Formats: sequence, C-alpha cells, structure tokens
Amino acid sequence: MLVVISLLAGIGLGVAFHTSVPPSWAPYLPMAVMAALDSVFGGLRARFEGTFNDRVFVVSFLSNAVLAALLVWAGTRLGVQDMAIAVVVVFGVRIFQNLAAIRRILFHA
Amino acid sequence: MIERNSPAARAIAPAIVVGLLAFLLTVDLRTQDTASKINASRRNELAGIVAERQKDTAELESRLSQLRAQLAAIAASGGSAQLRKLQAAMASIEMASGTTPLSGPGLVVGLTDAPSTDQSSNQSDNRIQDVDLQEVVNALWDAGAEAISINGQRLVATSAIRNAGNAVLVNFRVLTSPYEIDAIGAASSMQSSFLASDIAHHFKTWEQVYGLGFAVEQPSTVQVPAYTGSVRFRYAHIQQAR
Repeated sequence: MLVVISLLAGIGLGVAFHTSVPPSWAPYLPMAVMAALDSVFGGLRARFEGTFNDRVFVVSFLSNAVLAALLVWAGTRLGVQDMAIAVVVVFGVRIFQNLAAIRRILFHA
Repeated sequence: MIERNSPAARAIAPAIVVGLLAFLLTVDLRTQDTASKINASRRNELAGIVAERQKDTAELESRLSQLRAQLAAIAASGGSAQLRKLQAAMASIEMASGTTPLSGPGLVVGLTDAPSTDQSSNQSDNRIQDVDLQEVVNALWDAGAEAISINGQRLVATSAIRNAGNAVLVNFRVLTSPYEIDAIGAASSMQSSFLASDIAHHFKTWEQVYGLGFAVEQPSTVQVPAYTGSVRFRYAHIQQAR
C-alpha cells in the first residue's frame, strides 16, 4: 500500500516539478532508470520468492543506478561510446529474467 | 526517530526507493520528450534558413548576370581601336574562363544512378560518385573539350566536384542523377577520343554489372551556360608588368 502511494507520489513529483535534466546529464539518466527498474523487478521477484530483504533492495537500487550511470560516463571518457549499449543489454536481460521468474510464480507457467 | 530495524523502517525504505524510481522515470520521460521536440523545431528552422539563403543566392546571381550584361553593353558601345582590341582579347579570355555562355558542336554525356531495387547491395556501387564525374570531365578535357557544364553548372578553374551525402556538389550546388555533361569542342574527334578513354571503358562495364546509365550523344549544337558564381581568387593575383 505504502509502495503504491509512494509510486504515485513519485510520478506526481516528476510531473509537478518542471525540471528537465541538464543536457550534459541526459545520456546518464536513462541508464540509472534502467538499473533502478531492474532492482525493482528484482525486489518484486524476491518478495514472491519469499527472500525479500529491504536492506538488499535499497542498497542494490541505489548502487545499481549510480554504478550504471557512472559506467556510461566513464565509458564516454575512455572513448568507449557504446558503453550505454552494454548497460542496456545487461539490465534488459536481467529485467526479462526477473519478469520470467515473477510470471512463473504468479501463473505457474 | 524510527528504529533502523523497526517494521516501520522496513516498510518505508522500499516505498521511498520505489517513489524515487517513479520520480526518475517521469523526469527521464519528460527530458526525452522535450529533447525530441527541440530537435524537430530546430530542424524546421534550419530548413527554412537554408531555403531562404538559396533564394537569396539565386536573386543575387540573376542580379550579377544582369550587371555583367549591362557592363558588356557599355563596353561594346565604347569607341577607340585599342579598346576594341582589348575587348577581343577579353572575349577569348572570357570563353576560357567560363563567364560567357557558349554554344556549338560537341558531346553530351549522360550518367545515371542504377535503379535502386536492391537495398542490400552496396549503395556507393549503384550511384554515380564524384570521382566518376571527375574522371569523365577530365577525359573530356583530354579529348579536346573547350567548355564543360554538368547539369547546367559551368566548370571553371575554381570548380570542385565532390560528394555531399547522396548528392554531388558542383560549384557548391547540389546535383543529383541524371547527370548531363555538356562539352563543346570538335565533336567527332572528341567522341572517338573520349570513347577510347579508360573511364568510358569502365562505364561500359559498370553499365552491365551495376546498371549505371551511360550514354554519349552528338547533337548538332550543345549549349553551355555561363558560370553564375562570383570569380574571386584568394591567392592568385595579377603580376605587375615589368
């Protein structure tokens, strides 16, 4: 319940604040969002599997998001412009795996 | 103060994190949205500026040709024998420099891109490139052409033929297929000498292999327009008579 309220509050804040990220940050925010999405789906999966740990969830959420953004930033600095693709692939695969696990638990299929 | 391991903290911390995710997600969506909007409006703006400048250039060029015609008329009406001699000398220089339109016997070489049916094949093999035009033009000069224009762009000493994306730039003007190269000169000798050139042989092969269009015609008169751009040399200068 609290999670749903917080979700809606987050969306509300995002819409209400007319902030858009400075252009120099623009490439890194999507990476952080990908990592965060992965963490949330991972948390959801852990909850269904009964292994949910709030501390792991919070720490992995923050560290994944920051690390993904940092990795892409470091990539552009090192001349590896396609680092974003690596992050997208890794987290994309993980999101699908988490979703598959959730689906197996919920629908037994 | 909430205890670190209290049930309240255990419920609130993940909720805050999920809220943060929602916040980041919406901000990101908004950012991407505005970014794409800005790009679209800028593109229209730039296209407008380009169209405007192209119109300005066309206007200025027509004014330039008017002024040149006026200047020629004034010079022709003027008197002395020495002036006439100078004018005759100037006329021959103008012919070579490309600032007057010419017509006479010559060749017309037509080059066209291959019909692009096969998207998977190498695009540059199926299109006329700048080097193709350069080689054809050089072969024509070599065959004795006196004046050459490509799609109405007169080639002068400062003309460049180069690729720009899918088009070819000649005199900084964008040209696309079909290319018509008009060359004035002794038609029959030019034709035999041009057809014996390497590039003509290559084009006959490419016509079969890639489907490029290649045609050489010998009409009774070939029209070559005047160079419409400005003639300003940045490094060359007139040497003082000693």
